[in-house]
Amino acid sequence: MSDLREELKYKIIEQLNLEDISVDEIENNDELFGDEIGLDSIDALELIVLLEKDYGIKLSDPKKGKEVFYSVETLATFIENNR
Amino acid sequence: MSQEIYINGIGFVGAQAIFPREKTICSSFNTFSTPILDCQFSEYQKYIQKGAMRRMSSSVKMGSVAAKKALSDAKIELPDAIITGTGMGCKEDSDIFLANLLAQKEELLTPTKFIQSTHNTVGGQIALQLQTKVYNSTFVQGAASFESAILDADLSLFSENDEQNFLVGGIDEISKTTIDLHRLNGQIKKEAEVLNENLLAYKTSGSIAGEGASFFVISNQKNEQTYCKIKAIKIFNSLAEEKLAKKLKDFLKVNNLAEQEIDLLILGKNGDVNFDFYYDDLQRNFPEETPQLYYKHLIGEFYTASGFANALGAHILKEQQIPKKCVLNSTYKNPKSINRILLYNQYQGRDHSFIILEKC
Repeated sequence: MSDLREELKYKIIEQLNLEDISVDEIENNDELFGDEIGLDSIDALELIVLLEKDYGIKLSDPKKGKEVFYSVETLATFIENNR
Repeated sequence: MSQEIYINGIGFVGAQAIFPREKTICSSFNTFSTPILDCQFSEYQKYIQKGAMRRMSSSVKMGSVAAKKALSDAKIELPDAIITGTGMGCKEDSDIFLANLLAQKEELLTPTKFIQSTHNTVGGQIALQLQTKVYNSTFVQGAASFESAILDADLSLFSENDEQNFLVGGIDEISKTTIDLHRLNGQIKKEAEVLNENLLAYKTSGSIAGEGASFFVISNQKNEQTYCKIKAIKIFNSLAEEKLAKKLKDFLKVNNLAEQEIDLLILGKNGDVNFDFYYDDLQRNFPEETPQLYYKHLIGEFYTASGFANALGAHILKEQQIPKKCVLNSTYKNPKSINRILLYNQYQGRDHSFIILEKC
């Protein structure tokens, strides 16, 4: 179960080119789009593509994005419930 | 030019250090032994916010720093226009986007690389960082891109009598795909080791590749920051060898000048035996005592390399010193005063340009 969370942290750092953040610095419940990690709307698009490309999950309702991408934990839970 | 325009600020990032006003251009230059001269600047975090930098390719980073350096050099916070020139644009991100396009069969493409791959990315990013919505234009005219940007500054924007300060620059970056293609078509020397200081001694095909960003604050007002005046500029997209001397003569005549009134030449000679004859021909039109300089051994060849020549010329006029590592002719004599410099550049026999810089 924790493997998916670690894997997501690696992918987020790599895909979004978060040069100054290491996996250890991202807590499962950290706000991805808040002050803690500081992602923005372009990153959200990158995450939507990552979700579909790597996990085969299409986010059909964009309104759910805010909830799904809130943290690594919410993202992992969404993947586990939908794959 | 349509009126008098001045260079009031300079910033350059590439294989050589930025030109700080407090240091002379004749200070030491970096040396290289490979045919690819990467940008040597690394302190981007001093100029660009971390959050913004993570999406930037090297041309955006180089351009942002050179632009900020030029503005600070001119003591200007916000320019009245941002005009850039680039031969190939943001190649790294274009390479990645196109590779992904093929690998993923045109599906599930992420937006960042596409957004950042357009030619006007550098101009746009500079405007975003400065939080300005002033006139912003990018010229993609091969090796005349930088010169086209200066022409736009002169022809389109200097119609007002009020003081206007334009940020004008040229940017091009190295990317693996382009290097591979330029090796294939002979633009890069085949030798594994090329000592840049001996570039002209190889007498072989191709040159050394480089990258960089040169930015200038160009103004219709002279002030204490002014380096020099841009007196004239002319571009020929194609020019047969036998017509070069005539075009030079015409260019000088239109500007009421004779060859003897040019105190120094800066040539884009790059060691490619297939095209350096243009420069040899031009050199023969000037007295052998006239100092004749080259610069592409310092920064490599790229579409907007002539921006470096513009910076070099401006510094020479300001400092009245000739960098010895750039001198081509051993017969030169130091002029009593360097008042006027002619820049000549061409790329693979195309995009010829003349620029005259004049002491203020």
